[in-house]
Amino acid sequence: MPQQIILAYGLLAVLISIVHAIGRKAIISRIASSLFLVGQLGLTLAVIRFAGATPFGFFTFDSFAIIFLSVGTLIAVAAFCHSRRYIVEEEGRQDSLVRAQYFAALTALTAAVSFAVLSADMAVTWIFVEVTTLSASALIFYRRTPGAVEATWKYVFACSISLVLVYVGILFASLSMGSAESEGVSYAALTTLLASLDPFWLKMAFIFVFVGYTAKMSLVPMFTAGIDAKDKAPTPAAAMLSSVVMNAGFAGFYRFYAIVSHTSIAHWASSITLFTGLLSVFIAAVYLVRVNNVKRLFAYSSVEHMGIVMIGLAAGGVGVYAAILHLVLHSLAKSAVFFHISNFYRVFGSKHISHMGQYIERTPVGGAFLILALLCITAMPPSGLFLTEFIVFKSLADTSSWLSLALLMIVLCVIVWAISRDVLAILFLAPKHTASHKAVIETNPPVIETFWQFTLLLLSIWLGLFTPDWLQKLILEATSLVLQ
Amino acid sequence: MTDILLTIFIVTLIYLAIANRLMTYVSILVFQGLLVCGIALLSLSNLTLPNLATILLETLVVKAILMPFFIRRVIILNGITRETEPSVPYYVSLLAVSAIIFCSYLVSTVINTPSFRRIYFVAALSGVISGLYLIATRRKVITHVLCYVVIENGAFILSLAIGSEMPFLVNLGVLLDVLVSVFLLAIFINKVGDVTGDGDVKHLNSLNDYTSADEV
Repeated sequence: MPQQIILAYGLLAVLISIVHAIGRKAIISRIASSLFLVGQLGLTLAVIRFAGATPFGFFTFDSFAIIFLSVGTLIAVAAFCHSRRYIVEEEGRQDSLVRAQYFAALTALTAAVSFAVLSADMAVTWIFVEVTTLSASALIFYRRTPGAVEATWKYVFACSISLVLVYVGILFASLSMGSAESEGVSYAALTTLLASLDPFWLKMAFIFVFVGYTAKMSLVPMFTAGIDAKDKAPTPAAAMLSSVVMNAGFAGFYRFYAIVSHTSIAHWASSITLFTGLLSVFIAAVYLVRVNNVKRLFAYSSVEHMGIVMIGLAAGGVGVYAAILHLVLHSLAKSAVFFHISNFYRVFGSKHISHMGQYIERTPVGGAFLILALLCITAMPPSGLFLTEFIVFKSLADTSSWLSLALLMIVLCVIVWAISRDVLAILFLAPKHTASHKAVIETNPPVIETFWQFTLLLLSIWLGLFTPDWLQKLILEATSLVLQ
Repeated sequence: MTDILLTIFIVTLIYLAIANRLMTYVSILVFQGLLVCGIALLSLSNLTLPNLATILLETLVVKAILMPFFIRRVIILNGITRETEPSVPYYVSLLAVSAIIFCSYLVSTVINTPSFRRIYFVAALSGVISGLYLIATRRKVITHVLCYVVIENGAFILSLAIGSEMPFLVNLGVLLDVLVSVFLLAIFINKVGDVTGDGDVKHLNSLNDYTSADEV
């Protein structure tokens, strides 16, 4: 049965993408999107129902997959709802072909991300992450402006190179298996050969796989293309890029890291992960202090949060639990924030921070959302991210990494100051300049958008503060890949 | 025989470092495609028909014929000037690529896997890293695409070193990668050409953290 489910879902995604691309009428696209979302929900429920299955040996329905597939599905549904509205507002600016391509690409991206978190083989993860690059590039290209061309070009190029590096890493991993290479590079095969894996090849594999996936995870050194992409993509697509696509890259890295953490190079690998995490948080702080574009502000904040996830992972112990929970909460909160950016444009006609101000007076509901969002992305109480960051600090203290802890705390203070300064200015101060063209002013964001944005944000707070038992159990099972 | 072909592949990397015309790059790509095809046929024993077909399609058809032809067409259609316009002098690139090859050799001396031939590793790693270096030091967007193919060639040689037992799936993955990414890149060149005029990356710097753009 699990095999048929995978096949049926794959077929559905391909068919719906084609229907979107061919049938350009709004009604056809609406029906196709709804069908796909039903399929996506069906896949998620089926994966939960058949937990533990490994269809074809290429996919696995383990706890890690269940967590990130569920998060991905939730955000995808919200993204489709927001896209509908976005497209309506763009009416007249783009022809039907461009819109058809947009929905086809959004469908392909959702499917690719779902398959990437479900995959049980390094090569399969790699293929689906490659598909996310292609589908995401079509989304970034949506506006056809010179800026969009530039962002798409950089994204495609940086991601293609990164994925070649991941491919080289997979080949090295295959070499580390020695004579058993004919079994392929499934995570299970690597796990059974833990004791006999060649450390030299494994180290090479780790470096290449890690550097390659940093493009998707928005970490140093390959984060820059992702920032431009999130800046230029339509807001629903940017929300996907800064949540589920990052999770797909994390899935590829985490499953390989889990294997490496049981070998003789575990300490070496966690040092590299810790260093990359710290460097990412630092770089994010440097950019956040001077950034003047609200989309880039939140994109750099994603770099910071992914850095914290890496630090938690490297610290080990309870830090791994915090890392996974942090990523889940961040995905929910950050996608909500990106969805809300559409409303900034409606109110201010700009995404430039100096064009924005007195947001809370102009849209009280939007203002309330932004205050909550500020608490979440700066990880202030009552946000759940505060709790996970605190656990990461604790796990660093447990391993006596005092220098790392001190550096992290100092840099985080700078980040909290930089983000609060900008967001509070948007909320309460008068704008420094007015935008070059007149904005379409609405008092409050549309109800459907408000519903989704508040749902995602409140879910992020609730799951962090009162983590339900089932979620704790799932995360503990997912951490057992690293900690067993 | 494979050793000779692999050595020639390494020499082409050095030639790439000092080549100053785009068409020379394209010719080197064709040559590398043929070399990679030869290396593949010689190093993979007991090839089955589907495997042989995949390899021929990937190396001969895609890497030696289609891709160079496509890139050549893009160069001519866009009226891109012939110079590669490196941002560093040629002798620096020559030294850098030589150093990359030497370092790859040094790293390879650590290998103690009996079934693994070191020269594959040297050729593959120097291919990948030289490609990255050349991308970083050449200003034209089209040169970046050409160097990306060099990186792909390096990765392909490494996959050959692992032998014919690699899962068919990975072969398929490489083909997908080559077809889709390079063709997408090449198509994009047309669009990027519209924006930049002369295909110089210096025009692709409008996205930064301090300027505004009034669109969401």
